[in-house]
This record gives sequence, C-alpha cells and structure tokens, in this order.
Amino acid sequence: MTPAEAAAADLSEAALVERAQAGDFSAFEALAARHERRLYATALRIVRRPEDAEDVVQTALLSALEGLAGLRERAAFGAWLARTATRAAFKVLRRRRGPGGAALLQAGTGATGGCPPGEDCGDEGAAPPRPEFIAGWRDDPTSLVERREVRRLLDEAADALPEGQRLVFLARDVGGLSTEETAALLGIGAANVKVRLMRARLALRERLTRALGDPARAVAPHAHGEGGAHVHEPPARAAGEGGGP
Amino acid sequence: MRCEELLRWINDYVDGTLEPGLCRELEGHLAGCDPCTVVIDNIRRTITLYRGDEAVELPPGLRERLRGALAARWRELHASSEAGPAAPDAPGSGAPGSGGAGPPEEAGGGTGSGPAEGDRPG
Repeated sequence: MTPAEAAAADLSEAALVERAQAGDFSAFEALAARHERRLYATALRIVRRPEDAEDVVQTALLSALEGLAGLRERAAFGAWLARTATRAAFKVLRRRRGPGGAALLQAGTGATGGCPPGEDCGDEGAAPPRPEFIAGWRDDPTSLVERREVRRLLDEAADALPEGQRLVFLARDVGGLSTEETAALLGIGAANVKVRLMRARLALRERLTRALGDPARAVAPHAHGEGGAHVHEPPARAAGEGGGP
Repeated sequence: MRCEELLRWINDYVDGTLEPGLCRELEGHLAGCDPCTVVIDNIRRTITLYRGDEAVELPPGLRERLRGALAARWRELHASSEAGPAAPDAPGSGAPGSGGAGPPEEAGGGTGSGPAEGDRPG
C-alpha cells in the first residue's frame, strides 16, 4: 500500500468515494483494497474457478471505476460493488453455457417457475427442513470470520446445498441482489427464488449451528398439540455429541 | 401462529419486508417461543458470516494486476480532459490484463460494463 493509500485507509467509505470522484486515484485504490478479498471470495463461491474469479473481481472494479461519477449514495459503495461483482459472476456462468445458453436453473414444477412456499418445487422437494438443533452461537460472526476452520465450514456447508439453493443464496444474501433480479439471472420465478432461499437459509443454519452453537444454550424445538399449543420435545444434539448432521 | 407456519414467513421477516399485520402476528409468536427466536437469530448470524467472509489471501500477483488495470483505465477516462486529474502512477500500470488476468471482453472495451440500469444508489 502506498503512503497515500495508507492515509486514505483511515477515511470513511463515503469520504474515500468523494475523494475518488474528485479525481484522487489513490482513494479509489484504497477502496479497491478494502473490498478485493471479499469480492474474490464471493466470486470464487459462484464461479468456482480461480481464473474466472479473478476476471470477475477485475470486471467489478473496472465497472465501479467507470460508474463512480454517477454514484450518489457514497456510503453504499461496498454494497453496490458486491452487486456488480455478483452480476459479473453470473454472467460468467451463463457464458459457459455458450451463445444463447439455457437458463442456469430449471424452474420448479410450476410451468412459470412459480412455487408457493410449502408446495413442491421439483428438485427442491416438498416440505421445508424443520430446525432440529437450535442453540445460540458461542461466538459473534465478526470474531468467527477470520478463523480458517470457519471458512472451511462455510465452504462445505454451501457446497452441500443443491445447486439451485446455493446460487440463490449467493445471489440474494451474499451478493445483495433483489428477488426479482435473482429470478431473472437464474431463469426461474420470483416465488421459486423465495422458496429456494428459505430452504438454503434453513439448511445452512442447521449445519452451522451444529458446529458453532453452544450445547449449553440448546433449546428444544416446539411441537404443537391441539389448537396449536406448544409441546416441548427433548433438544437435538450438537455435532460431536453423537447427534451430528 | 404455529412454528411451522412461521417458516413460511421467515424470509420476509429476516429481510424486513413482511407485511405489518403478519409482522405483528409473527412477533407475537416469537414473544412466547424461544426456539423460533433462536432460529431467526441463527439465520441472521449465518447471513452475516457469509456476507463478511473474505478470501484468506488473493492469488499471487492479482493485486498488482488489478492495480495496473485500474490505473490504465483511470488514465483513459481522464486523458481527454486537460483539466482532469493527473494520470496515476500505480505499480504495475500498463494495459489491462497485461499481467495475465485480463479483463473480460465486456470490461476491456470500457463500455457496457457499468452497473445495471437503476442500480446507482441514491
């Protein structure tokens, strides 16, 4: 990092964007330095090939540079950049399918791709996964994210999802795209996006909570008796307690 | 509302887009249901964890190639304006992609790669 970058690194995101818009290239370099690792991680999760992930990061940063003058909500630069990178990553996936390639995903059983919650969604199955191991986490996400074993856990959990759920989760929750844009990118209906996202979130929650949850803070899922009254069940067991996933 | 019904609305609730009447009903359920409260907290943490994840490190040379490509594009954009900012002198400056990570065609041309229409915050 150059001295100018180092100085700029202490500035707020909005202040750096303002400087870059005024023509300070080192401010834009500092912005790139702040976001490049996260962009690369997101891109790699979507495209899976390092060389394609590099292209995605470069495309996103060049797009940001070219669109910088029009950015009015300066504090939202990071989110804007993440969406740009996510679109670029999905463009790579589509390009792999060749000219005029087919939709990235097959829609659910509904002819339009619509799939109301709780109904069948083709490969997504019928019923949403019911939470089993429920417990507060031992640590805050901000303290977990730097740990190498947690990164491996995130990779394994995402890779274990059906492809349709994985891509929807990455587009919506990591890339920050809207339901409608995700649906358009993947070639499925908005309702189908919502169902896949719900299933992805619940599946990831289950797997991560079994690894990161505190067994001492486990609570039993509720069953419901007549009239919807809660009926307590024994808590599920965390990973390592003989009741792992 | 039963716990199973709450799952139907969990996305919209977590995203803050649940219709107000349903939101009140759901929060009424949460007030008496620790498991659902914890599940929602778990989901929020899961999203936060993925969203904040960063690569352990970038591939060798990528940072320099990015700087070179950005500096070159910056110079191109400001070259036509004599009153514009001075050309940057970033390490590795050169033609985009000269280091082996060349921009994809939609970026290399310098047009048509900007953020999607309607996605300019503010």
